[in-house]
Amino acid sequence: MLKALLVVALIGALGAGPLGAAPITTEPPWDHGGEDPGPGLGGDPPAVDAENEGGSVTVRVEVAGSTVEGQTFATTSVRKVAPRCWYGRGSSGYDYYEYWKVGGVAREADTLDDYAYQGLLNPNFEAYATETEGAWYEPACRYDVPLDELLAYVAAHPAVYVRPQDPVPVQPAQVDPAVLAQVAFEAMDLPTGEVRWNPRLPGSGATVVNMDTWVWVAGAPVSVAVTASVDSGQWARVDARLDELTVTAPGADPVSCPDSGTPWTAGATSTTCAVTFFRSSANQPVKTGYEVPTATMTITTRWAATWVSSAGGVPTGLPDQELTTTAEIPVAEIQAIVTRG
Amino acid sequence: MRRSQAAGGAGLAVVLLVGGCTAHDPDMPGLTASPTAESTPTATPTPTSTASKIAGTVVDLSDAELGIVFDDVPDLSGDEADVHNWIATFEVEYWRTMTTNTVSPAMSVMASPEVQARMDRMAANNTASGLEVGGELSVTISRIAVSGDTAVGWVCDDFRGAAFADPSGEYTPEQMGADVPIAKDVSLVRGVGEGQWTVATLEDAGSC
Repeated sequence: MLKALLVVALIGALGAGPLGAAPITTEPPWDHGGEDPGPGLGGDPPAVDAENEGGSVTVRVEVAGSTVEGQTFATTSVRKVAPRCWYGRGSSGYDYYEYWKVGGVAREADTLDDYAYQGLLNPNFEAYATETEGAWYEPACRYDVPLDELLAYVAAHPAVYVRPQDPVPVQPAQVDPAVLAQVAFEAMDLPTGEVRWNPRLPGSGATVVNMDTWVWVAGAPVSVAVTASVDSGQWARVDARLDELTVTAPGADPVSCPDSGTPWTAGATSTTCAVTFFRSSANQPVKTGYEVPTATMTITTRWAATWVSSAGGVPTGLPDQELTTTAEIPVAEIQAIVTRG
Repeated sequence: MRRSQAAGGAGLAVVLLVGGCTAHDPDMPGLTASPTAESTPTATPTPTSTASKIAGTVVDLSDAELGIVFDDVPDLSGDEADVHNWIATFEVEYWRTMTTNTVSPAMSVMASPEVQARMDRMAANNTASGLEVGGELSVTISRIAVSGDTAVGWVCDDFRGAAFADPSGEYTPEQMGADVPIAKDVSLVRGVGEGQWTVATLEDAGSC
């Protein structure tokens, strides 16, 4: 076909082009390998990684933390991530041999011949020269993997030939520690706890205007460590601690607290978190499930987090994470002196 | 689909005591036909040297049979020469892929998985279009810069000597929109072999 094309091109140059020889229909779309394949053509495939080449890495995620009351909590889950390096499917034994053999197409290029000369071809590839079924599985790394990591991976994972009846190589777990850290960070699914307050009038549970309302979150986590690890021994751990708690509610000025508050107990004299309502909740709607108007109090906890990994290094900061919970709190106006409890 | 392949894996040559030689059609490299009884290969010894024969020296990979010519081959040395050579090698195999609609096996040696995916896409799209490409590609490589284990370069692909056809007929470069040379920026990372570089990314860079 190509020889015919060349002949046609020559004829065209002499003035009797293909347009005169036969009617030309609409040009077919042409993909020249650019970023945009052009109209009517399939776009780029999904991002290249082991996952869409048939594998992914299982990550074990362990969450361990403690609450303001000193109780501990722990969960374990499993997630999947794409690795940095993997085994990918390559040519058949026949195609590989034909291309790389002495006298093959590759050997016509000095660079490729030099590559072969350095002994870098797939091990024992001559033994698979007649194999048209199956394929080479070769080590591959994302383009941004550093050279030393690439070299170490390739040295430890030589190409292997996989016949149709053979299992494909297990995808080795080489995961970017930052990816593990991100997995851990995203797995930081913290319990929200239960918002409590005092004063709390018997019956309605209302607090009152113009005096401190102690606010605390029972069962609130105060510290958590989330570890994401893979079988190869790589791990990353996110350490997070409660950094700030803010309380907002209609009829009260917002307050910022350094922790999850101080549970009120008889005889307690001070708290780290109190809000003062200057207006009752009488003007608020009656929410579903309630019999009296309530103010919606929003508690937002901000968590500061850092991560470390098996690769060493100093702790690296992560974006703050916020956790929000709400409570419906009736706010009453009373004229009498209120005694706590 | 490799960025690079196993290092030092070939070891000693394996001798296959079988008869005959594989018939190789130089017009259709990358053809994936099944071997016949006559195509059983003869063993070929594999050198075991770990030293490069050409590192640091610019080579001109123009190949009249394949239909690729390199214009204005620069005079470079050291890493820059190697980077030039591997960009040129990529261009050869890029053109081989385009003219056969079969991704060259060498892509696994010198292109990142991301770039290989684009070659896969190109071959698949042109196959789906029924498009065959031939003629000549003229390539200019320049603006090579090396920094440690990374490098960049610039390529101008001139398809004005190419020929296009599908089952309905033949098309000129003008008809195909290939009458303006296409530039691309290339980034590379050092590979596993001495003097070897791998094409990491390709970015469109307009016309040239």
